[in-house]
Amino acid sequence: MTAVQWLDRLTRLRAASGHEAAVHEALQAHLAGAYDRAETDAAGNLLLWRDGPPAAPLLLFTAHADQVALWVSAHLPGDFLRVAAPGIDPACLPGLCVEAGGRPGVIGMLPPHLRGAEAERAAAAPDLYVDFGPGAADDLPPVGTPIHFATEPRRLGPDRFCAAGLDDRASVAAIALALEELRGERLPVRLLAAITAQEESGRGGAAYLATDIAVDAAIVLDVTFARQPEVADETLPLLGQGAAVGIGPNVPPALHRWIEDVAAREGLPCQREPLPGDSGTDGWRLQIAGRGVPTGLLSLPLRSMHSPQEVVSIGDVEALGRHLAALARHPLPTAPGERGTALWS
Amino acid sequence: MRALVASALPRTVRSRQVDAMGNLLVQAGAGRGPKVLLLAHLDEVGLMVSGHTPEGHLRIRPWGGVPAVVVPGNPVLVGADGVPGAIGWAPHHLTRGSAPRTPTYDDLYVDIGAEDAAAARRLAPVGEMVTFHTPYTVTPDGAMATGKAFDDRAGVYLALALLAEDWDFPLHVAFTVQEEVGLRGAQVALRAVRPDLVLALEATAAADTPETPAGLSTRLGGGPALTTVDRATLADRGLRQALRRAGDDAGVPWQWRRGVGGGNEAGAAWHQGYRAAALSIPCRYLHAPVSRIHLGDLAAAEALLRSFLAHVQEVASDV
Repeated sequence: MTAVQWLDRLTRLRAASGHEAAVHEALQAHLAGAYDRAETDAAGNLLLWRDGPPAAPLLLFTAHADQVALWVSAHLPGDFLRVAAPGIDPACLPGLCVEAGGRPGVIGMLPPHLRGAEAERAAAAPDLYVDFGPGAADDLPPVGTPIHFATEPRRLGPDRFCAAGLDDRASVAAIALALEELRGERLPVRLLAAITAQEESGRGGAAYLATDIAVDAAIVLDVTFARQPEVADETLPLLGQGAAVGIGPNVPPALHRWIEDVAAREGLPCQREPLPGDSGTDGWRLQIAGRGVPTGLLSLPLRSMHSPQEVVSIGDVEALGRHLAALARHPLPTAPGERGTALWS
Repeated sequence: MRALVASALPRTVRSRQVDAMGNLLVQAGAGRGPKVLLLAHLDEVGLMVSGHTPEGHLRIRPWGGVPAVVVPGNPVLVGADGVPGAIGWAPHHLTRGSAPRTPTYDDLYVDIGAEDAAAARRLAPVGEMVTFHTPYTVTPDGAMATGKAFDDRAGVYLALALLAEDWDFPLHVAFTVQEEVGLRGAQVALRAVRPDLVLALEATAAADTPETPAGLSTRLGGGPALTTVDRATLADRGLRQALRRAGDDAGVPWQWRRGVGGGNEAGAAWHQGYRAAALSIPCRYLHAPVSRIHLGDLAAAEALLRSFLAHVQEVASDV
């Protein structure tokens, strides 16, 4: 499949934290033959294994399957549901089409005519409710049901893709592209693609892997804030210039150099993302799991994160897929078991 | 720092390794006694290059807990090659009459004398480390030392001093990484060592300066500080008592760390279920480009720790 086909297919799925099965099914259905074994672990992570020579180092790619969602928090009289919206700015919600338990709904909004002096006030979480229409009251989705944005995925111009849940389905698409590209190829590494659960709820699914599995190098994929009109910070990466390579305490220098060198050798674009502290990704906890996991970070720049209309560059996703495939073909920067000094100098 | 410490390890060290996080793990001493782990962190707070202005200045972000208000006007070194730089701040002549300015990292920049953004990028790419450039000096009476990063170079010094003795129990030291960004190196080091007792050797904030409220500790010259509780730990009671006794036995001053803010690697050990406590050197201007300690506190801490380790057998059995 092309990058656009993967993005379209994956962003039509609805997978709030803890409800990731649809993503697992889609990947297994469409990646047949591109991996040797699949399993789902107790933390809800989908593990896709590419076997290799038994003594070969283990390279891990991770991206998270889940996306932000609203949650039913109470039933109101009539057809209405009160909602909670953790991690989402309520200001962007009124007037949206949503879906819960397979049923369409809309997020209601007091018309401006009736708002009086409050006309200019942004929506706050306690104001929000979902309208499921008449006749639905007796079988409204129960409290705790996730409510997903019903955004129709679409292209914007030649290179942009807009959908809900591109955080982190765009990274999942890049892993899928890499696995397709590597199908049938002999690799110098064993490869594990982990599509992790509950990143958005703070569980850090990737960290659980490393307590059981000795990983020689990990590449954690996520999205990061791209520069956009209200966020003009010149330290943020730009859309369309390739994934951002994290640099800082989360990434041993040997690993970020390796990631940048492989991109340069393959003629692939990438940028740098300064991360002097918590990277805000699964990689922050993965790195200190078990005896420590050498972790690299590659993040796709994305506009309007956690909104119903996230935007990425299609070219960035394609390039990231090729970059991952190239990383699996190149020898790791350190031999298996070699630790410490070589990674951190 | 790791290379410097590795080259300074005494001959009593029996084993050494660097783990996947970059922690330097060493052992001196052996025998049937308890496995004791001392934690001292190699890292210091600083800044990171985060971007470049068209005029060739470097944008910066804090690497660890450095408030923006303490950095304007300070000398720094950028990158592994130590490119000298200055943190700029518009002269008050030009800003007089406007409201007092509180710096934020969005306003601050490092001037390295680059002509334009391209030159700045070449000399100091995004991600480079920016460290404070404060020379080490000692006051004329020899009592106090001034410099940067006594947090936790003081702890590293103590650990190196204690390693030089041939103990009759396994003494492990983890020279750890990434303490300042979340007690991260210690968490991995603890899983490798699996000690019986853990002592974090630290620097702690001194509250003997004019602007700090009365009644808080610590003060310079009062000896090393013992912690009962802070944001990261409830110190092990037996260990705490043993440390007090060790100080009294050695005839050196020690003080309680009053106030419950802050936290150190004893917290990482406590969270993993180990018996842990901390011994801290009082330090003025913690996390600022310049800090100050009393060398007598360092000597007292060393004497206290030697006395503690000499009786560690009893401590371990006294749960």
